[in-house]
Amino acid sequence: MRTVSVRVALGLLAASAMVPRAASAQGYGIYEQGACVMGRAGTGVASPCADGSSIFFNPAGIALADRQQFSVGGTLIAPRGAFTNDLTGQRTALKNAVYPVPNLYYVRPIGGGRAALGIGLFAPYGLTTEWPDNFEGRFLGYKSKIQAIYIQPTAAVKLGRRASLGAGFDFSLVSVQLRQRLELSSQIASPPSITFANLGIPYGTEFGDVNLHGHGSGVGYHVGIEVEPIRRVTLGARYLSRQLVKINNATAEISQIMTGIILPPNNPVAANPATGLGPAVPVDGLLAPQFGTGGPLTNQAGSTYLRLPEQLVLGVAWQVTPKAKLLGDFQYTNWTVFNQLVLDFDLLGRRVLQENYRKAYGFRFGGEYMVSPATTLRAGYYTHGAAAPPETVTPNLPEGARASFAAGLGTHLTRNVTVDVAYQYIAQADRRGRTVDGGLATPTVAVNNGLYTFHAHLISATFAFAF
Amino acid sequence: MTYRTLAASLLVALPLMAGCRQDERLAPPDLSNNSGMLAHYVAMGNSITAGFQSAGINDSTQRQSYAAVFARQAGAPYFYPSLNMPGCPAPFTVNTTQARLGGATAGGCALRAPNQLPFLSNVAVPGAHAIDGLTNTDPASGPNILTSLVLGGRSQVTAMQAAQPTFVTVWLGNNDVLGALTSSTNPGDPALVTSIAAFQATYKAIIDSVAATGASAALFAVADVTVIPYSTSGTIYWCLKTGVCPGVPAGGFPPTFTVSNNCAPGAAVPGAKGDSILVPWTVGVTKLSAAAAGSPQTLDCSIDAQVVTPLEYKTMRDAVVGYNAFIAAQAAAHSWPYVDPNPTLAAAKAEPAVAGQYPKVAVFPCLPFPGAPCGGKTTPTSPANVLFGTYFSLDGVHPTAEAHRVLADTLISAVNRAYGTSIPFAGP
Repeated sequence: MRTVSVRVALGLLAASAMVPRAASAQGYGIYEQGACVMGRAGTGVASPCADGSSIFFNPAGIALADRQQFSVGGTLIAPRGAFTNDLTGQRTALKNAVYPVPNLYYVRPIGGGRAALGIGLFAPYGLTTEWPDNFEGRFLGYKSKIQAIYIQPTAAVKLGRRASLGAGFDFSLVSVQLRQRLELSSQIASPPSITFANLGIPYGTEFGDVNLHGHGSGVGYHVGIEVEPIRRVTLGARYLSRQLVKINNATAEISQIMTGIILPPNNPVAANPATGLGPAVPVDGLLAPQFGTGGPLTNQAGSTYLRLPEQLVLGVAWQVTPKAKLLGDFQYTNWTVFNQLVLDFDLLGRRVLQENYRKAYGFRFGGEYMVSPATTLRAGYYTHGAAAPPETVTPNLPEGARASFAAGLGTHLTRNVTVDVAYQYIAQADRRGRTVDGGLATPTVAVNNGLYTFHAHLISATFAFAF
Repeated sequence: MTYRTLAASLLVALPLMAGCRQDERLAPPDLSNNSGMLAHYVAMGNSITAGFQSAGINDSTQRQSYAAVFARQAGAPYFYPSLNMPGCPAPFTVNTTQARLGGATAGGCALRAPNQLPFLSNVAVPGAHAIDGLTNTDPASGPNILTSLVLGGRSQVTAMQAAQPTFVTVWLGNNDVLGALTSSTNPGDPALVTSIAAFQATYKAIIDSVAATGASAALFAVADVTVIPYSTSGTIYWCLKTGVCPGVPAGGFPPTFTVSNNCAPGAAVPGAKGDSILVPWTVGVTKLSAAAAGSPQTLDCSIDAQVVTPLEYKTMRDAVVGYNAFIAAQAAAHSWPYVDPNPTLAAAKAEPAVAGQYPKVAVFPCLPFPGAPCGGKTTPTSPANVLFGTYFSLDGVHPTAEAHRVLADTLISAVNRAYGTSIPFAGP
């Protein structure tokens, strides 16, 4: 009879920890921080909108404010995606949901209009994705959520008549949640290396559920500059620093799921090696001590950290006519900071997973046209490459190259009140990925077993008040 | 170009840039030769379907199973419960000494490889009777270590259902009669033959579960175990010993090996029933070996504990006929093809190299035992195998890779005919 001693490897818990999905920009970034700029597909670093959102799109922009500005807005993101397995042909769709992303800005000119102070609240990273809990990729994660709220006090100053400079500190408040199922076949059944799969337990046998959640905070900075080198043409640049968010109070709530499996008599667990005979073995009874007092699968604390990448955006704006403006932005995001996840559990020990994200680049083009003194129409397009390498396209972040169209409208309801609305459609290139790890500590593209599809609809509104 | 023209051009260009995205594609299997019918193929069965050979099974033999060959020819996804080398148990390397691959023992088991399979295509379990296809918990069922390793606590039926099959083959029932033939205490023991009524009840329940999935299917007939080389008729031994039978020259048996006249054909010795008596090779060759070593041995076909008696022989044959009549009726009732492997078995027995003389002791210049008489030639100095021809492995029961290819082609022929598919043959 083999000594069964379940050694649970929550490698995939680490794999999925702190990872958001269905974000609307590269990796788990979100770029829709104001309806005005969203209507021009995010182009704004060289010519931010006058609704306070320049705190995010270019801190230097607030120096141009001639009155106090206060705006409140939000974007509703409706991600739609699915995974289709190559071999089984089974298609599983993301749960349909709509996720709100708020933003709030306040700007106050000072020094006779030569400078300005402001504060903004926005969420440049995060989102939530949820698969059905019977999804084949549930062992990597079936629900994950991240909320990275940045609070950015900002100051900006005009440098002569044609330039301005701005900077601010970012204080981030990050909360994360991951839910995943535990898969039995990959667990150690008999030390040092015999797994339940070796004993015949089929892959896909779930025996536990994990709800991991925690929160943390980080600090960074944001600088921007805006220059008008020639008449009607402005250049802009901004740099948002990376942040290291430590999450020291994570909690893993773990519960047993009954498999109902009974190994028949003469099984490899209980059989006498000499005779091959032995009794039937209920697997759930075998596993129960792992979930009991002192077992490794009891609720426990843990810690990890999350790196939020730096962004560098360069742009140009051209006031083509008094009514028309064209804009173009180039964006670089250093997703290489997301190279691995390290998770430390009190009872389960350390888990490390390689993610190996890559630097990502994007191009944005936008324009706006003033159809009347009160109303402006906007449109834009952007495209960017993938941050995730081919081997880490998983249910946690089935990310890929994207293209997006946006359109918007801004109108002055009164002299002091403006409302902007925008719609954006994101189409992600269909991307091969995986729902399993292939039993490998560092899965390769050979494990990819299907195709992820993704698109999203976004609508946004911002109400801006000037006074 | 005016500003407005430039702006308009840029706006027109934007949609075109959407084409920059490079969509990747699904990589589904090519099922064009079966119109997608084999998207989820599941094979139910026993040792033959599992790929058991030479009294053992491992990843190498599993990949030679007719089910694997069939799936390969059809381009169908095929996931089998790969067993680590050297096996569970490891196959024979020398059947006369029962030496096994890697020096493994008969009770040794290297367990299953930890592959993450999307579904299980081959749910067959060596040793499974029909009842074992249905349940592991019935008192009549006889699960073994491979039941757990292959199915992980499920039955073949539940594993088949879990695979959401589109096509199922069922080859169960062989062990319901084979177990009697291979009994070490009483070859042909009628108590070990499943009654036709019991078989029918079990088999129907299995077939009903297959039909309930909506899958197409093909049903294999039970093999006539009385024609496999595990056993040889008493007549063969008597003829090889005496050399008096037309077309059967003397086999060069050692003088110390005697074959009783009760093993003779009735035409040669009145009252003898050698044609209806089966001698397991484990009995006959063991006696030959001992005789070759100088210990006088007699093959007495009246000893029930050593041979399959005429009545036992009839019981086994009747069971096979009864099972197959029911299987054929079930196939007809569901408009599924009925695949009969028995002509293939008969053809195998007729191959020139065997000429019906299982075991092939007569066609060897020397008996495969150290010290055996060798007609003036060099006596073998190390144990050798008793061979059973091209189509049977070293245990005399299970097909070789060549035989599996023939079985696969038999299945392919039946499936193509029944379903209008164009699955190519595996060929020799």
